Amino acid sequence: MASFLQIADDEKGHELELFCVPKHYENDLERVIIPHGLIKDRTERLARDIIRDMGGHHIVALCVLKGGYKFFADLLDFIQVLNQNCDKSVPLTVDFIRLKSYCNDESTNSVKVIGGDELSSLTGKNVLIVEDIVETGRTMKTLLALLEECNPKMVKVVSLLVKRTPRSCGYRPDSLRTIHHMCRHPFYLMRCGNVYI
Amino acid sequence: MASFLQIADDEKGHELELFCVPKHYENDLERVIIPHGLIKDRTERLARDIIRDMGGHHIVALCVLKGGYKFFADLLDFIQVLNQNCDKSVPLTVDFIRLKSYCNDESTNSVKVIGGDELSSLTGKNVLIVEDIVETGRTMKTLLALLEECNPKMVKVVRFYILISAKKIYFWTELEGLCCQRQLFN
Repeated sequence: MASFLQIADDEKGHELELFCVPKHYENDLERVIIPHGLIKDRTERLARDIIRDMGGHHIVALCVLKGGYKFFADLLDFIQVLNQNCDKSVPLTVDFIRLKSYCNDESTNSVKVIGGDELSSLTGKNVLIVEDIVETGRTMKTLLALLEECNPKMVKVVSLLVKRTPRSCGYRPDSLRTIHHMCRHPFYLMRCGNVYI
Repeated sequence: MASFLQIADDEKGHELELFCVPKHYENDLERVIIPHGLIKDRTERLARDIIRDMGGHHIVALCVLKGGYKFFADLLDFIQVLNQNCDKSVPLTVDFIRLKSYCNDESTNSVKVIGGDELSSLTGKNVLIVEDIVETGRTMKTLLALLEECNPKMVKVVRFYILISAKKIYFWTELEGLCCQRQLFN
């Protein structure tokens, strides 16, 4: 059952002056909605849940670039802490892909997977897709369909943010997600981890 | 001027039991040669040096996958700390590439760059290549030549590498910081 931390539609966040913000962004931002520390705490718990649900077999952690790399690095750090300090550990390999969506005459939307090792290397493995944000869900649905053809043992998606939007196709990360955020206006997921508005 | 932390050929390292090691590796390892904390400390200083040398202009940090990603993430975290806490900060964007080397009839070795944004986006920027290991240096030389065609303002390579020769009795490791692009290799 997916569990998530919900951010209310009217969440005001915090004043910028209470936090450390890159100087060259200061004039473009108003508030800190989700502090980086909150994200790290949630990520730590996600790592524990992932080991619990997927730790029985070799995990391939698939990072969706570019946005997902910071969340990916933090998540794997926490998984590594568990691997180094618990009674049992799970072998873990990593890979990186980029998703390019494009329109063609035959279908409204298609997704091309760039980079990464041969998808055949995922056969029989527990595949964990790490994404920074799921909006409409269409890209993720297409990626999952692609991966299913490789016959992995298990595929799970962990996403840092899931947007509540009327444009959603109904897809939800099937097991794990962190923060559920209503997008009424643009927000910025900075590389440093704070989510600003 | 490149500065680096050298590990002696006869460095014994530390006993495994003094550190935390993933359980599924325990039977395959003997000693800890370079603790992770040492790597983090050196990376923190590298971040400071990078800001000092490249911080005057927009930096594009180019991560060479897959091996470079951990070092890359740690390095950028330290750069971010400086960006958020000093009087001035430098705009920083990231990108990721993979290098595939292949042989063909015409040349002994060629390198193909996979992924990443259009190389033209590097024009006029300070490009920082982040690599985990450089052995012969041929791949890096080819990459640098490719990048030069995009007319970046500056190109520097920071690498964290360990070269352990399995065939020989001794092992040699070197943790190296910034080097100027044309003085890297022999």
